[in-house]
Amino acid sequence: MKSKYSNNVLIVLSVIFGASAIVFLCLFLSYLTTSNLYKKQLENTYMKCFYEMVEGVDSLEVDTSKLVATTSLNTQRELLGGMYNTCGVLVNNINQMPISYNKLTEINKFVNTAGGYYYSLLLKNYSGSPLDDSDYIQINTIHDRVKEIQYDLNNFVHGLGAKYSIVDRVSFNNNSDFSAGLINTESAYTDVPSLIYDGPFSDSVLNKEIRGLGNIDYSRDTVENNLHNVFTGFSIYYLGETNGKFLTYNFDVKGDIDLYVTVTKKGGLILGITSFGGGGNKSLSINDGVNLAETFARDLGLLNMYMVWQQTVGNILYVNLAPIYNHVIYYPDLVKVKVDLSLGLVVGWEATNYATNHVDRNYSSSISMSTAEESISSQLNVIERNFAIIPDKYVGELSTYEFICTWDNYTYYIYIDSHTGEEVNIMRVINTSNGDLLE
Amino acid sequence: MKKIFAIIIAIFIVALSTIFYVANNTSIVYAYDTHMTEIQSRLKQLGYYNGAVNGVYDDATVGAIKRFQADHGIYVSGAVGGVTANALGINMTRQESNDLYMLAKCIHAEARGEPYIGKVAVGAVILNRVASPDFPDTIYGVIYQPWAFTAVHDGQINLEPEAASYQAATDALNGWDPTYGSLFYYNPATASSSWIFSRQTVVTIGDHIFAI
Repeated sequence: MKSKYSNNVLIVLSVIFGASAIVFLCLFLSYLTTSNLYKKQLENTYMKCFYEMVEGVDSLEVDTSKLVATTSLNTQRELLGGMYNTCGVLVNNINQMPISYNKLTEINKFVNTAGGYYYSLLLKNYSGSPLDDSDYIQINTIHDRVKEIQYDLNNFVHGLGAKYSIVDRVSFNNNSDFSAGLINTESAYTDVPSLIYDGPFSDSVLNKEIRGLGNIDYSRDTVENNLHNVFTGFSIYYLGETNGKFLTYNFDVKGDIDLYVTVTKKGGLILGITSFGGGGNKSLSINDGVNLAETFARDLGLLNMYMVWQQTVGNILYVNLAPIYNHVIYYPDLVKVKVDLSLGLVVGWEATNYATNHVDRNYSSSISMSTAEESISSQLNVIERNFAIIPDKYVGELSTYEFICTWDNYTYYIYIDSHTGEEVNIMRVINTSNGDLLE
Repeated sequence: MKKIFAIIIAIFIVALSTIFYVANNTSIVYAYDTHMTEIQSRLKQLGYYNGAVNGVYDDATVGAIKRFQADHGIYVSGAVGGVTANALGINMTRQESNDLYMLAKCIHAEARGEPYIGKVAVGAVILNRVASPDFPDTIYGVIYQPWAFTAVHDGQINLEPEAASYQAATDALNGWDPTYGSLFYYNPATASSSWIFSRQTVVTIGDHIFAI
């Protein structure tokens, strides 16, 4: 009897284990199939990016050499447009490769810079100017580098077997053969000058000279005393210094709300206020909030600052202030202010543009506003006209006429160069779930 | 004995079916649409919807949309496209701030334990990368660059951002940059790459060192 009972238990257990094994085997096979499918899809994506990159470099080499050979403006335009696009595709492909950023810095920088340079030549071409000697020197430099990359990449491709798998070679610490091959490629052109032109993507824009702070150095004590005057009733704690683009003293300002405040050593300007706000019920109207922002700027000694844009997100009002002198708006000197409409306080301030750009300068024009307005599309209805100095990617700043126009429920901001009459910028107001934006 | 086997086999068939069902139906997913609240609200005003205005695209909402479409001669699909939205009087020029959402997600994943200034700083670094020639030119490109952010690598990027992350992302998009152009940040207590320590430090905020 006992033996029969034991046999039954054994049979039951065997069935349980057997069935479990079958279940786990099924799950494991299912997992393996799915995992292999994902791996193949990933491999295909990497391979597509890689071979598109190789082809892109080949095409860039050919087109760059054609650019040197042709004198036709039309052909140059066609080539430059294509090369600019190729650079964009190349950057996209490079950045999808499974290699960490720090190993791709130079190749990214080179392709981005080359693309930006081709774009600047394209704009030059559209203005009817042929390539000059200095352009050809730069083009030849780029061509030499592209040839080096092409040589290294093709060598790398020839070394790959039919069964080469990027996914298999890639490891989390990036010591794979694949990474090593590309990194060797990179080493061939790490000395590419980063400033081959002074265009929109160059470092000179990032490292723009600071002109708006003057030369007077402020001590920490003076700055702290000034802060007590600005934030009456708040406790102020010194946090340390920042040694980046701006040299600043940093403070924690505690009161109804905690604020992180940075003040420049040169000029003693409050450069930044950062805080999280917006809780509670709204106590200020948007107009009151704008007034509060303008008054705050005036109290800090920033005169003639007026609202040129505002956006409300919940109980937070973002206000862009710009200096307006003699009816001219100085957009490069924008200060951004964040007002908590529930607390009735300025809880954010961003004045790096002002600190960088604010100096006395003159607005000038060679054509009248009415002449400039003639170039506005007849489809648009002009509802406001202003004089404006705007930042420009190439020449720093431009004197323009600003026309605010409407068409089919859309609002546009259009800027016409006050000397050449050319349209230099157009922006459309976009209604988003977080307020209106310009794009 | 046969009965026991039959019971065991039945149990395993049920167990197996359950396992495969759970594996293939891990959760019931409702589509969230940021317009959905507005759609429900409008349908309610028009008498087509009696449920909660909660932004959830559920069966009751689908039914209400279908009834509205049928009454207005629109192809009955239960989904709100341009024609239905127009008929409902919903602003067709309105767009969603996808960049803001993506930035808020990355800030939340990377800096949710940091002070508010640290969240803005992380957002600013992402935008500085977008502007830099060394990195991709879009927020998505920067965030999803391989091995650029730990939170993307380990999947934390998919956590839903909280209000502070949204506001920090808005601040960063509006130009706030407490890092003054920094392109990198790292936690010195956990960073393992010797390369990152070679970057020039700009400022320390919370647990992160920001560098160029």
